[in-house]
Amino acid sequence: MSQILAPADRGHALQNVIDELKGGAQQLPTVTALRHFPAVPAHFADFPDELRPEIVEALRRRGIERLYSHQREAFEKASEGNNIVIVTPTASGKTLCYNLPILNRVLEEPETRALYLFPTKALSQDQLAEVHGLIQDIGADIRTFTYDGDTPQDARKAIRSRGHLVVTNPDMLHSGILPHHPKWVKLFENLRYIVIDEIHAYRGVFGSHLANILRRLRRICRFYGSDPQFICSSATIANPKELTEELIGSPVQLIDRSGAPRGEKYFVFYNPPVVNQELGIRRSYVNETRRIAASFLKRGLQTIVFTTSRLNTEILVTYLKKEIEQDVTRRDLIRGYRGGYLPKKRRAIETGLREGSVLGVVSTNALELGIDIGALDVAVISGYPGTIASTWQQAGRAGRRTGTSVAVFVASSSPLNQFVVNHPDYFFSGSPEHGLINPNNLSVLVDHIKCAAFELPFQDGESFGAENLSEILSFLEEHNVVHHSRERWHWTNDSYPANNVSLRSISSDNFTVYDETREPKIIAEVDFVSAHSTLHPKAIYILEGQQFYVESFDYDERRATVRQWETDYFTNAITHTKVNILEKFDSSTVLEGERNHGEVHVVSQVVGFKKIKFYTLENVGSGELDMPELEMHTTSYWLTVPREVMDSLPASSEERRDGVIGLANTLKTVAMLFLMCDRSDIGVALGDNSQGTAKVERGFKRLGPGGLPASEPMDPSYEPNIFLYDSYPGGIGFSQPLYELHTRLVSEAKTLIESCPCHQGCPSCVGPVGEVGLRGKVIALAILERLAAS
Amino acid sequence: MNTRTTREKLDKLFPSPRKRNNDSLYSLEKEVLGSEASSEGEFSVKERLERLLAVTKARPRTFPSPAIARPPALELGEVLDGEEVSNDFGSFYSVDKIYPLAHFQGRIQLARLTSVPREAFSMLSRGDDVFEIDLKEALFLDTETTGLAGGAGTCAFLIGLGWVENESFVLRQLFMRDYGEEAAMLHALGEILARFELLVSYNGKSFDIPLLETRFVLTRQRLSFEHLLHFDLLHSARSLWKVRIESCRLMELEHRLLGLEREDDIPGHMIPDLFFRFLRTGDAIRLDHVFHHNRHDILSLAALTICASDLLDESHVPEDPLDDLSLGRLFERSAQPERSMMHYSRAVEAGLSGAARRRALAALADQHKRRGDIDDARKLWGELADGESVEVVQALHELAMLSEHRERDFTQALGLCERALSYLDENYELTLSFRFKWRDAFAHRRSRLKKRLAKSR
Repeated sequence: MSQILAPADRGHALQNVIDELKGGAQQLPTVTALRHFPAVPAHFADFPDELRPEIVEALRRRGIERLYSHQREAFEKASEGNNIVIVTPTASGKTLCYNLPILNRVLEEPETRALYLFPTKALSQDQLAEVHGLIQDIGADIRTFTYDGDTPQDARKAIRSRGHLVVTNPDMLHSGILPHHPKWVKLFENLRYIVIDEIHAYRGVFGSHLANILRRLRRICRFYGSDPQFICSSATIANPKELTEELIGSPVQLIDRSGAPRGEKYFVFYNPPVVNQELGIRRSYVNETRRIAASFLKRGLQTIVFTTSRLNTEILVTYLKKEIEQDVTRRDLIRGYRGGYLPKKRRAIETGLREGSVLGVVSTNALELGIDIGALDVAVISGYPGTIASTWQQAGRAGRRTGTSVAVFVASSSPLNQFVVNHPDYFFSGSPEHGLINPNNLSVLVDHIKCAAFELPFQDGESFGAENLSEILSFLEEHNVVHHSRERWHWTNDSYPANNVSLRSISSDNFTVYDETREPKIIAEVDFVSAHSTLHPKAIYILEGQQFYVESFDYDERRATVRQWETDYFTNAITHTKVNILEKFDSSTVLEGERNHGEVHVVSQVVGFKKIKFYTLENVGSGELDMPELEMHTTSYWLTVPREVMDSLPASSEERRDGVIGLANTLKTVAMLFLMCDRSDIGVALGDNSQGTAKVERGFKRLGPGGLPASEPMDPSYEPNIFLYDSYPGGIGFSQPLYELHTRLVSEAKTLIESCPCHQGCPSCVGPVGEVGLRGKVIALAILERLAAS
Repeated sequence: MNTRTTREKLDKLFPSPRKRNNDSLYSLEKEVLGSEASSEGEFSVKERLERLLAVTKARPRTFPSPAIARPPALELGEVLDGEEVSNDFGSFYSVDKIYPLAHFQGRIQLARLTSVPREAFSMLSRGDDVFEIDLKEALFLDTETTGLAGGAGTCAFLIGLGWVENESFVLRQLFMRDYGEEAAMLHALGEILARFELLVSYNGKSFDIPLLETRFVLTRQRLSFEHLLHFDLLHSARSLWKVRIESCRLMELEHRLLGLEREDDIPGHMIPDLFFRFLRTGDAIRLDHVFHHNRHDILSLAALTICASDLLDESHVPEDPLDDLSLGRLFERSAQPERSMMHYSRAVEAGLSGAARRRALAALADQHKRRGDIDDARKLWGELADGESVEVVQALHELAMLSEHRERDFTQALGLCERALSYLDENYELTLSFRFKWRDAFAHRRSRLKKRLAKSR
């Protein structure tokens, strides 16, 4: 068949699939969950009296006779002058929540200006089109523009003085708008509203930067006599109100009761079957995704497949095109969609989905956020997108508002995926995910204080962030960056500080990678810390599937020279990490374990590397290295396993240590889930509490031939500290929340290990046997029995 | 919770740069100057070398006296001859220099500012910008700034202004001795701006004026440049001299056109640092060089404006035939074909050679063709076709068109095509895209000609 079904026939086809799945669920251990979400009716509210008749008229022409209850609530709260954050599911009419109060105000006071912030350019374009349409229907002279890197120079002047609604992104605000604020007098004098969409995207380093950009923005507004209010939206996370308040630095009212209707939905969790019990190897999730997606597509159901990488997108498009398009005359039933496609092509695919000429699309998370592609029947999520919030957003792409839909999550074998697929309750019962930021991280703060001083001189007595501003300014004066005179601090440097701040990382001290295969050219930039483990001499550096051999690493010049080289192995750096506790902020005993958080000094050094063969992952060699040490002051959570617990374990000292390493790996996995962060955001290290400090080889304990650092002999008084530290100088706000979440952290770690079907440990739980030994899994579990409530 | 002070955290986060150790100049200073070695960012590399040199010259192989190593601090009044001026916004420092109109800036006498006719620049008019300008009523402006980056954190600390008054050229420099004086300085600028209708600058449209507008907003002054007609000489200089003087930097122009050689001039990139040092330490050392540099820029701006008017004057014959080529193009663009041809012809006759000659010839041939003087055009194309480079190909193309369509001599046209194709094949110095484009065009023409020839037989 493979033709798109008429809407009336889809319900029937879907029901068939669901029946099959239900039947299968009893026999197949691969389906770990099949949840049914019944349809939810709409909660309506009348148009508010204050809403201008021309807007009401325009909405009526669009077939909107009433508002959803949350839209009215947002209108009222915003009209009263409150900062608000709206937490509602995908396709709940979120954009009207901010467009209505703003357009209403512009109609009443045409001088009013509003700034819209979206995390990506694609989203800006889509939202701009939407608000444009509404304004056209209203028939008002309200000028809306995007202002980003793509805006032509000759259009910029007009936008600066004439735009009512200016749509931009944090990067442009940071480096293109705020430093040039005197050119935006009209906007800043009349700025009433700032819209921040997808606020949960601003967490960790990026969020900490945005909070400081908003501090700068508000400071500039004060100069021009304006005091804008914030209208924000967020996907479902555990702490939307706190995150928003941290970001904007003001109290916020939460709106989280959605009045939008939802169609009936089935959500399936699928775990590919184990093919090698010993090693815990499962069938390829990409192949399984292809099979599942094809079964929907062949029935004529419009399906979106989400992948976690561009490469997988291309692979799946190729597979599915072959399978689906061969027996039909029409081509282009299956399309790919990802960043890197030209805008025109993307628009065509979006239209094709809305109009039904495209049957299936395989996408990266590029289509996850609010771009309008209409209502699809099925969403297949190939690999966990990293957060519950993203997963729901992807699932929400199928079945907007009415009609039945299905979402299938196909798990990969990574620990995160395995945890989620085996713990449906973790996923389905309320989000434990915290959006965390630390706007007072000193290096982030100092960067933005420089930018702020550039924008407007600081007055004596002014404050910016939680640190002592005058101490920071004096420090900057010693470095000739600012100058104090007549109660003000002036920028005295010929640079443009915003250009030296990267919003996605803490330090902008990068290494450049020179390819000298032919004409020398720069092929990549690598951040300072990762450079040590990926660009050391003799490393195999991989970029877009191409392998490069690192010939030299020049620390002072911050560059590495590489040459293209085909090999059958890749390299993995061996890092020694040593953690010193500088100050314990808090500590308490929970069951038999001790939780702590505080400030630490982390010294790590890449001391060697291993060569690992592709596919078989055999260790085929190793080498020693003497790389510069990396030092960092940061914050950390740590778990102390008391000696009594260690001593009571029925195991050799070597095995105990294996267990601790396995436990550390597992804790990191669970922490990543709670904190919605990447692998590289948290570091893990072991220490000996009886010594105060200790040294371990992170990640690689059992080394191959080559005689690299052997494990130090076990001290009989060994009392392990497991550190989970923020991988950013000054900390990014993870450690205290981890301290608070300790109980859940250990209990989820326990369930993760317990429910893993492997025998002796695998990458999905404590780590591979090669790393944690034959009893690592058992010992880790034994320790957790003592720390976690059962 | 955390008990460290902000200062302690800062020192830990940003330890003093280790780089200092591998700074070889620094170790040399340590050795030669001892405790007088410069601290970070105190002096430029050049200054550091000069200090070292001064010491080693004065006392070879002996330990230097600190007095030589560190020049004494200078008060502003010691290096500049100005006065403090006050207004409602406070005070600032102002320096006036009066130049007699007899003063020569290089080969140009300032008196000529009073004799350039109003309509000298009228052909540079574009749209609403009509350039009927009287240079004796003009205000010449140039600023020295704390950087080139632009944005709210860049500041003009010295504003140089020049105008003709009472048979002399007044050069006034407004200077803020501290950020607190900026408002008063800008207010004084506003008062002067109000007296003029015409502003002349070099790159002021994209740099100085937007920067000053930003400063007006930041000091909350209701000032603007909107009432002023603005003549930015850089834009005209590019049309007039780019062929001859690639960079079109003010200093390059003054060297080539005015015959001036700046001695002891301060490099532009060092200017912000000298001002910052004055701010921080009150040491006015070399600040007079900055003022001198600024005055020099304004005098050259005035003189170069006169040079530009000369070039546009029909009765003036430029010394360099390249200027005729530029003028030919300028008048061609402003739709004055007669004048344009006159310049092109003169450029050719004056003995241009090489690429410039070929460009002039090609442009002239093109003008002839437009006027319908085909024989004149053919003669020039013939010369070009025997020459070299891209013009060979273009001329052969024109000639082939003539043969094919006008004279219907297909055999001759075919011969021209073959000539062009072999030229394209043999001359690798032509760009690849050029060769592809024209090879396609000539191959296409050749096959058409072959068909026509076959048919006519």
